[in-house]
Amino acid sequence: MKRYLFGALAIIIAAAVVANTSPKKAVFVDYFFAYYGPPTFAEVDVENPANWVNVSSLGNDTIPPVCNNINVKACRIKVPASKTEFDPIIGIRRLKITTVINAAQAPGSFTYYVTPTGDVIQALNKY
Amino acid sequence: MNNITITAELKQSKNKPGIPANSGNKRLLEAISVLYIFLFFYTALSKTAFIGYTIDVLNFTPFFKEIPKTTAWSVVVIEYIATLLLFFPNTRRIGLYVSLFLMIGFIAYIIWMMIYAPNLPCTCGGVIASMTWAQHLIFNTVFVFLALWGILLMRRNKHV
Repeated sequence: MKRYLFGALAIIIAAAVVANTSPKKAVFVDYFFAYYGPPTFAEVDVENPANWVNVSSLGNDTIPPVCNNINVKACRIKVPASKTEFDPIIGIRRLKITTVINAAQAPGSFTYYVTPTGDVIQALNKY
Repeated sequence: MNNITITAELKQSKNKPGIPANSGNKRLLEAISVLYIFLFFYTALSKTAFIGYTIDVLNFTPFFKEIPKTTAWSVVVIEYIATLLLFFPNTRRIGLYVSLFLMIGFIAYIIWMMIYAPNLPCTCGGVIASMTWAQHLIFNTVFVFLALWGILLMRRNKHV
């Protein structure tokens, strides 16, 4: 039994240290989400958090869709981590259903784009 | 008298496979194994407890973002296996080899992250995640040498 003493102690100490560790916070302060909803870009779809997919934490425009920052159609938004939640079962980060996204109609068009209001820190739209 | 002592040590080591006859080496090997047991069990348990965080980081990591869940759980399972192998003297030798290869793998991951995603945190688990990439590289290199030392200690004893 003596042969297992130090190994067992190491395991007990490791378990105790982990038990006293506070839960991890989100990896990033802000997250980027891209619009992957119906291509009609209707107001109800653009404002629906379920239509937004976490694409990057770095604002990397190399991941589609590419946003040219022309306010015609919704493209990409930046939101604080507090407005997102991580689902460990599916393995994705998504917008909380309570996240407020405000859309505005593009002049001379039926499509909607996002304004940097509500819970949206930054809005990048496209033509 | 000396012959009697050596014979007694050899007998003892035969009864306890995986442990070198020399008591100094034996203690050293025990210490290396205990350090590794602590490290692997601590990081595996920490990753298990915060598996969502681990997967979340891997979601943004080049290459691993394709298989974040599989990667996270695979590493955790291998770490638990390494802990078990190191815990039992009979399997300590293979445990040290597994630890060595795991550490080399982690070093490759660190170098990969230093090149492609230096601003991302490490998915290492526990307080080790708060190290910088450079500190982490040094830390892992030390553990690689410890594993090599342990393997060497075991190899020197023919009867092990």
